[in-house]
Amino acid sequence: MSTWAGISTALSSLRTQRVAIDVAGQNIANVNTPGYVRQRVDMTAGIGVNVSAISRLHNGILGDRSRTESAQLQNLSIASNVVNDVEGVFPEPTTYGFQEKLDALWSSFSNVARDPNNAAARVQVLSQANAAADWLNNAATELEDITANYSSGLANLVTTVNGYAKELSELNVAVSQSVENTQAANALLDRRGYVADQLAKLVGGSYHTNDLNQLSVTLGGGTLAGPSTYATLQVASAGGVTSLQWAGDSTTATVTSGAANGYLTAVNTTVDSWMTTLDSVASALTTTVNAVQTTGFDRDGNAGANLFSGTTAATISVALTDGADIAASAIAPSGGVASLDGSKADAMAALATAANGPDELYQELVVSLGFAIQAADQAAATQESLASSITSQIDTESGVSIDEEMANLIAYQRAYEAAARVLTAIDAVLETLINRTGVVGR
Amino acid sequence: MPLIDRISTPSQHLQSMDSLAAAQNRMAQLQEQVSSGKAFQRASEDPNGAQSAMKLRAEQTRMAQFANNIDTGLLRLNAARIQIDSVNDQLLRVRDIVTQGQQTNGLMTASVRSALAEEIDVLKSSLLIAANADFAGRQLFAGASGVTAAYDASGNYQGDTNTITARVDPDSVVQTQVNGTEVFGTGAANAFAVLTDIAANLRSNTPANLAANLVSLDAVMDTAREAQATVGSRINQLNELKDLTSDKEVSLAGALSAVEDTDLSKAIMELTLQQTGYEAALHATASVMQPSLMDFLR
Repeated sequence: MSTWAGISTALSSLRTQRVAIDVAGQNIANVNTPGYVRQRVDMTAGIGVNVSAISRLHNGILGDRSRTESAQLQNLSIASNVVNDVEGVFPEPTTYGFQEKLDALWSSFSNVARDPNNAAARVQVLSQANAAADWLNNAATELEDITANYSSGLANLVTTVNGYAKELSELNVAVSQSVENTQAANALLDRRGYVADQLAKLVGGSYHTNDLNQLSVTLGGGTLAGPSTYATLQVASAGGVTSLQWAGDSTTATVTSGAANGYLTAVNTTVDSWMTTLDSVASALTTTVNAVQTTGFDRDGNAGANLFSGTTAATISVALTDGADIAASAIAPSGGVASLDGSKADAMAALATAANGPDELYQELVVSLGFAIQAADQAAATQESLASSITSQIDTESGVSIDEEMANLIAYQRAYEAAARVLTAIDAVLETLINRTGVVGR
Repeated sequence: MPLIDRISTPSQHLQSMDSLAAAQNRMAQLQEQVSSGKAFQRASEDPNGAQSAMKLRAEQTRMAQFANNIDTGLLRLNAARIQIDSVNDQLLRVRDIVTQGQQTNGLMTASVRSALAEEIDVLKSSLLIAANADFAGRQLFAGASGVTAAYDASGNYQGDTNTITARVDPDSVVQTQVNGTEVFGTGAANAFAVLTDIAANLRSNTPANLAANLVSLDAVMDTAREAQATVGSRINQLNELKDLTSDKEVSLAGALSAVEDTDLSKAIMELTLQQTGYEAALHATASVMQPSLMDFLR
C-alpha cells in the first residue's frame, strides 16, 4: 500500500462530507419550495468513500395517483362552487327572495277581492306583478352572468395550460440532455413534476414517463405535451355547447377531469338546468294567473286580458298597464253595469297554494338546489380528504424535515472533522518518519 | 414504503394551520347563528327547514289577509245591521200609522188620514235612503252589482241576486251582505210598494182597504226581522272566526320561529365549547411549531 493512500482516503471523505453538507443545505433552503423533492447523497465505499449519486427521494406511483386525485378535486370543487354561486341568486329564506314577491302579489289580489271598487288596490296588483316579473328577469340575468364568469375562467385556464404544456416539453428536452443524479438534473425534475401537477389540476389527463425519463401528457387520444413537442388548446363554442379543441386541427380535446371539466360542466349543464327550472316557475306564474284572469271581467265589464306575457324567467313581463284591467269579477256585466264581484281576484289570491303553481315549483327549486349543494360540497370534501391523504404520503417521503437535516448536518460535520483528524494523524506519522528518523548522532 | 413515518416541516405547519382554520370555521358559523338569530343563513344549510320556513311565511301572509277579510266583512255587516235596525224601527212606525188610520171614530177625518199619508211618504223616502246606503263604494243591498243605487225612486230593485263574500280560510267563505230583496221583500210585495199602497188608501180615505195593507206590512216586517237575524248570526260567525284566525296567526309565528330561529342557549353553549377547542388548538400549535432541533444545538 502506497504511503500516500491514507491521505487520499481522508481527502475523499472530506470531499464527500462537503457534498453531503451542501445537499443538506440545499434541502433546508427549499423547505418551503412547492414541488421540491428532498435529495440524499448516496455514498459508496471504494478507496475511501465516493459520492455515487445525489438521489431524489421520489415515488412515481404516488405522484401519478396524486395527479389523478387532485385533478378530480379541482373538478369537484368547481362543481361545488357553481351550485353555491347559483344559490346566491335565490336568497331564501329572507325578505328579499322571490317567495316574498309571490306572497305580496297574492296578498294584493286579496285586497282587490275584498274591495273590487278600490282603484289603489288594483294598481297595487300591477306593481306587485311587475316586482315579481322584474325579480325573475334579474335572476335570469344573474344566472347568465354566472355562466359568463365560468366561460372567461375557462379561457384563462386554457392560456395557462398552453404555457405549462410548452414548458413541460422544454423541460423534457433539458432533462434528456442533463447528467443524471446531479443537483442540476434534480432541479429540472422538480420543476417538471411541479408543472405536471399544475397541468393535472387544470385539465386532468394521463401522465406517462418513458425509458428516457421523458414525461408525456395526453388528453383522450391527443398529446398535450410530449418528449419534445407540445400542442395548443383553444376554447370553441358551437350550438350553445362549449368545448376544448386542439388548435392544430380543430378537433375536440377530451377532458374528463381537472378544473377544465368543472368549468365545462358549469357552462354547458349546471347553470342551464337551474335556468330551466326557474323558467318553469315563470311559466307557471304566467299560465295560472292568466287562466283565471281571462275567465273574469274587469272593472269596466270587459272580458279579462292576459296579465302576464312570456313564459321564461328572462322574458316574463306584465302586459296590463291599467288597474281597472284586473279581472276581479266572475260575473258578466248586466244592463251595461259592471259587477263589483271579487271572486276571480279571490281565486287568483288562492293560486298561492295551487298544486304545481309558482309557489310550489319555486319552493321545490330552492329545496332541490339546497340538496344539490349539500351533495356537491360533500363530494368535494370527501375528495379533498382523499387528495390530502395522498399529498401527505408524498410529503412523508419527499418533504424536507428540518430536524432530520440538522441531525444529518451534525453527522456530516463530525465525519468531516474526523476525516480532518485522520489527515492530521497521517501528517503526524509522516512528520515522525521524515523529520525524526535517521537522525542518530546528529 | 412503510418507513418510519417522517413528518416534513412544511406538512407539520400545514396540518396545524388546517386544524386551526377548521376550528375557526366552526366558530364563525356558530357566531353567525348567535348574532343573526337565525339557525341557517342559506337554504343549503337546511333545505327542508328552508322549505318549511317559506311555506310558513306564505301561510302567515295568507292568514293576515284572512284576518283583514274578516275585519272588513264585520264592518260591512255592521253597516248593514245599522241600516236594517233603522228600517225595522220605521216599519213599526208605519204599522202604528196604519192601525191609527183604521180607526173609524169621529176624530179620524179625511184630512187627518191625508196627514198620515204625508208621514208615510216621508217614511218611505227615508227607507229608500237606508236601502241605498253604501259601504266603501259598494251598495250594501244591491248584491254584487255595480249600480249606484239599489232601488230607484219608485222603489224598484236595481241590484242582482249575487252575493259578496269574505274568504275566511282556504276552503270557505262567509257571505258579508244581504240583498235588498231579503230586507225589503220582492216585487209587488216589497216594502216600497206596500207603503205606496198604504199612502194611496189613506189619501182616498178608504180605511176598509187598510186591513189588507196590514197583512202585507206584517209580511214585510217579518222579512226585515229575518234579515236582521241573518246579519246578526253572520256577525257572530265572523267574530268567532276572528278569534280562531288570531290563534292561528300566533301558532304560525311560533312554528316559524321554531324552524328558523337559533336555539340561543344551545348555540351559545356550543360556541363556548368551540372557543375552548380553538384555544386548545392554538396552544398545541404553539408548542409543536416552536421547537426544532436548532433550539437544542450549540
